[in-house]
Amino acid sequence: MSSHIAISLNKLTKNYGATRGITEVSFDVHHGEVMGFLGPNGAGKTTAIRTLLGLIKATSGNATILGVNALVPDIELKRKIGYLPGIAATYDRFTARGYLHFIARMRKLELEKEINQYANRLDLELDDHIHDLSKGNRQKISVIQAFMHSPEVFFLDEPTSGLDPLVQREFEVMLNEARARGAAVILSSHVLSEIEHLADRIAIVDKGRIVVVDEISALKAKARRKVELFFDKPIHNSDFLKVPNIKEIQAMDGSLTCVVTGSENELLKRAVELGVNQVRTEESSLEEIFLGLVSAP
Amino acid sequence: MITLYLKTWWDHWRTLLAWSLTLVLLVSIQMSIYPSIRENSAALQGFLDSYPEAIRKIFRMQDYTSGPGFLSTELYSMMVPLVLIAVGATWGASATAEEEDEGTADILITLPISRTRILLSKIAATITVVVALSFLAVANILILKNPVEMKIDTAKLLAATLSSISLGIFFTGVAFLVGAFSRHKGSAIGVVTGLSLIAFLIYSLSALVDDFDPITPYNPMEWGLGGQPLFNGVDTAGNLKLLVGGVILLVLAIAQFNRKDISTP
Repeated sequence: MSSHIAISLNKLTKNYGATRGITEVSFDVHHGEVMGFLGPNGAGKTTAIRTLLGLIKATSGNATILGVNALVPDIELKRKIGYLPGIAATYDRFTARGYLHFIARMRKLELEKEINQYANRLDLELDDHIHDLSKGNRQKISVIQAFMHSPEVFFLDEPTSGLDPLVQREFEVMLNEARARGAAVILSSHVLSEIEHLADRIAIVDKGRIVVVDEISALKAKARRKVELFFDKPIHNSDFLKVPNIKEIQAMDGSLTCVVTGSENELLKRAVELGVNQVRTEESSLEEIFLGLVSAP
Repeated sequence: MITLYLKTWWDHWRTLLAWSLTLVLLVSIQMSIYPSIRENSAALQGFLDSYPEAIRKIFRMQDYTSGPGFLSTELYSMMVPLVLIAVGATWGASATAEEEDEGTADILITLPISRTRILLSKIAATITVVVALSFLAVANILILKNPVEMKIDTAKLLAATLSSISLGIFFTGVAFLVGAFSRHKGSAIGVVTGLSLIAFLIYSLSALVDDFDPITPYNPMEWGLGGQPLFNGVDTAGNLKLLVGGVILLVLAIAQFNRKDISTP
C-alpha cells in the first residue's frame, strides 16, 4: 500500500434534515486502499459521500481528493472520479449501450472497447432498452459507468445491491484490479460480510459520527472472543485470576472457557505453564464487532 | 455541451412531436375556416358587434374578419403564445427537477461538466424548440395564406412571432428558476403553469377591470400581447422587457442551481 493519501476528510460536517447529517467526519484513504464505509441505514454514509462529491454543500470542515479541495467544483478532478450512487438511476429511454456511450461522450472519451469488455465480464446485454431491464442489470450499467474510464478514486455506495453472486464475484475482481493499480476506494455498505473481505480498513459510522476507523484484523483483535482451553488435569478458576484481558472464566474438570478482549498472550502463557493440550478460539464475526460499536436503533 | 443539448431534445422528442402536430393542426384548421369568415365578413361583423363589448375586448376582436384581426384573435392572442409557454414551462421545470426526481442527477452532476454548463445546455435546447415551433407556425401560415386568400403583412406576422418567442423565453426563465428551487417535476410544472395562466387571465380581464390597471405595466403578457404586433409591427419595448427579464430569470436559475443541495428520490 502506498502511503500517499488520496482522499482526506477533516471534520466534514453537513447539517441535512433532522437525522441525515454527518458531524465532524474525519479519515484518510490511501492510494491502493479500499476503505469500507460501514453503518446502519441512515447513519450518514450516503450523505458523507455526496458531500465529498459536491452534490450537497458541506456545512463546515474540509476535504481533499487527490490533493485538490473537494468542496469546490473542479472539472479536472471530476474526470478522475468514478461514482456509483446508492440509488443508481439511468435514463430509461436509452439502451444500455446508448446510455454508456452518452456518459463516455460527456466525459469526452472514446470507451467503446471498455464498455464491451465490462459488459462481457458482467454478462450484460448492451442492446436492450434500460426500461426492460431487471434491477440487477440496471445496477450492472451503473457499475460499468463508474469503472469504464479507469478512475483514480472510486465512491461506491452499496455497489453490489441487486447483483447475483456470480456477478458480485466479478465485481470484486474489478475492484481488486482497481486497487492493484493504485486507485483509492470508498465502499459503503450495510452488508458486513461484503466489507469484510473487500476492504483493507473500515470506517464505522453511526448517527452521523465516525465510531472507529481501523484495519479489520486490528478490530478483530480488539474484539471480544471466546477461548476454550483443554487440559489433562482438573483446572480451577483461581488458576487464571491474575491473567489480564479475560473475564467470564468458567472452569470445569479439565477445561476452561473465558472471554478475551485484546491480546491473548498472557492467557496463553499461563495456559502453557499449566500444560494446556488444546486451544480453541471462537473468532467473533465483524458483525458482532459492529453491533458492539453502534448504538441500538 | 452539445451532447447534453442533443440529449435534451431526445428526452422530449415524443412531446415535441405532439406539440408540433398540435400547432400545425391548430393553425391549419384556423386557416381553413378563414375563407368562410372573409366571405361572410359583413354579416359576421354585424354578428360580432352584437357581442357584449366585454367579450370583444377580451378576445381582441377588433377588425375580426381581416387577416391580421383573424390571426390575432384566433392564434396570436392566445393559442400560439400559450403553446410556446407550455413547451418552455415543461422543459424548463423538468430540466433539473426531473433529474432529481428520478435519481439521474447524481451521476450527471458528477460528470466532468459544471452545473452552469449543464443548465446552459438545457436552456439552449429549450429556447431552440420555442423558436423552432414559432417558425413552424409562421411557415404554416405563409404556406396557407394564398390558398385561403388571406391578406397579411409578412413583416407584421414576424413581429407577432417575435413577441411570442419573447414570451416563450420569459416563461422559460420562470420555469428554469422554479425548477432550480424545486425538487419535484410535477410541482415545478404546476407552479409555472399556474403563474402563466394567472398572468394571462389578468391580461385578458385588464381590458374590462380597471382595478388591474396599476399592475398592467408589470404583466409580462401585456409586454408580449398588448402591443398588438399583427397591427402595429414590432413592439420594441415589450420585447426588450421580456428578453431582459427572461435573461435575468435564467441567470438567477443558474445561480440557484449552483448552490443547490441535489436531492435523491
